[in-house]
Amino acid sequence: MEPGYLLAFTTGILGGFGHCIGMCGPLVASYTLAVPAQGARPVVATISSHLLYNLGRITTYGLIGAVMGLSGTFVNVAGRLAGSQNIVAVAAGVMMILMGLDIAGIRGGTSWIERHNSSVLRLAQRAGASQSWLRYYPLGLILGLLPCGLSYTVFIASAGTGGLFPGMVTALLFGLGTLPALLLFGTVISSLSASLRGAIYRASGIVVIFMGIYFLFRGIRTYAGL
Amino acid sequence: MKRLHRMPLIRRMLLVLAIFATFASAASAADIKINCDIQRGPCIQKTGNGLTVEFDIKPKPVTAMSDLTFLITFTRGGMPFAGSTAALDLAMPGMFMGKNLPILKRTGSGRFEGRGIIPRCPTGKKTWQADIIIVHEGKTDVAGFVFEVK
Repeated sequence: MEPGYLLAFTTGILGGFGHCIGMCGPLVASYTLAVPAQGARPVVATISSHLLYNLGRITTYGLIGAVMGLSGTFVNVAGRLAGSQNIVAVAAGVMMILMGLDIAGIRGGTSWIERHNSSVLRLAQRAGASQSWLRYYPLGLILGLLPCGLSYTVFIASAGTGGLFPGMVTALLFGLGTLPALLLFGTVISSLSASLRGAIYRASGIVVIFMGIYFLFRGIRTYAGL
Repeated sequence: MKRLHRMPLIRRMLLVLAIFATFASAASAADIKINCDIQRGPCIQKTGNGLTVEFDIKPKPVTAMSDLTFLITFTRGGMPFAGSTAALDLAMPGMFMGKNLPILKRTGSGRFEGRGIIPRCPTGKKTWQADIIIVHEGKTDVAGFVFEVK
């Protein structure tokens, strides 16, 4: 195996536990906690949903890595992606707030937001409320665009490969490396959330709302370059 | 709390692991002190083996997500020190950001230059550490420069 590929994979493994859980864990927790309101799900369905979410995220990494490798430049491509990444960061924050409101049982809050805001917010709310576990793949595809310092480092390496295929493989191997940590984290949260009921469960919704506000703030700050 | 005690042991262990991993990843970088004002000009450090290391980044201001040139010069007793190899390792204190190792090329006696990029962290952290690893006369020296990007 190419040393660069091995480095990308080990970066994913180490970063998964040392970076991704802290940075993206709240996001995983929010979409996971939003589900068990309808009751506990079989283990296979739980793992499948997290696997699909992560495959969507890794697909996006692979595509970005391919473009970086093909163009051979990180700065230009990252500059073009920045706008959409900031929109995704803000949308992720809004989605977490909406899911948090649902988990906390503050139904009035979401309906007010639906009445007074754009179709994008309504779409995010519907995505959160959808019953199909297949929705996790497109969710992962979109959230794979979230601005992330660790993935930027790997995309710099992808650009350095100077080719579409090696750029894509570098990013894909990094994404696969992050899989064990996020899969484990998501499964643990699913397991925990299935056993939470009543006031404790509603309190977790409040936590998700605050995490959503933090994500929203992060997205706006990145957009403003602060 | 009763609910937690009713959870199977494996679930409790996984929960503790997840909480530990979350807090470990958010480790504080409060004990890391900035020792290099890279925005104003080059920074200088002396190693334990008597080498003087000068480190600079251009262009100014030094910003994240832009093409940067890293300039490193080694001297001993005021004279260029040629007998060494060098590597540059960029890292964010308290936050794992992957391996960022710009390739250095020798541009003169004791002078090295490399091109690279410092990624932007969405949390707003701007402190980075450049470790310059120098191998000379069978010894290894490390000079660590902690600085802020814009």
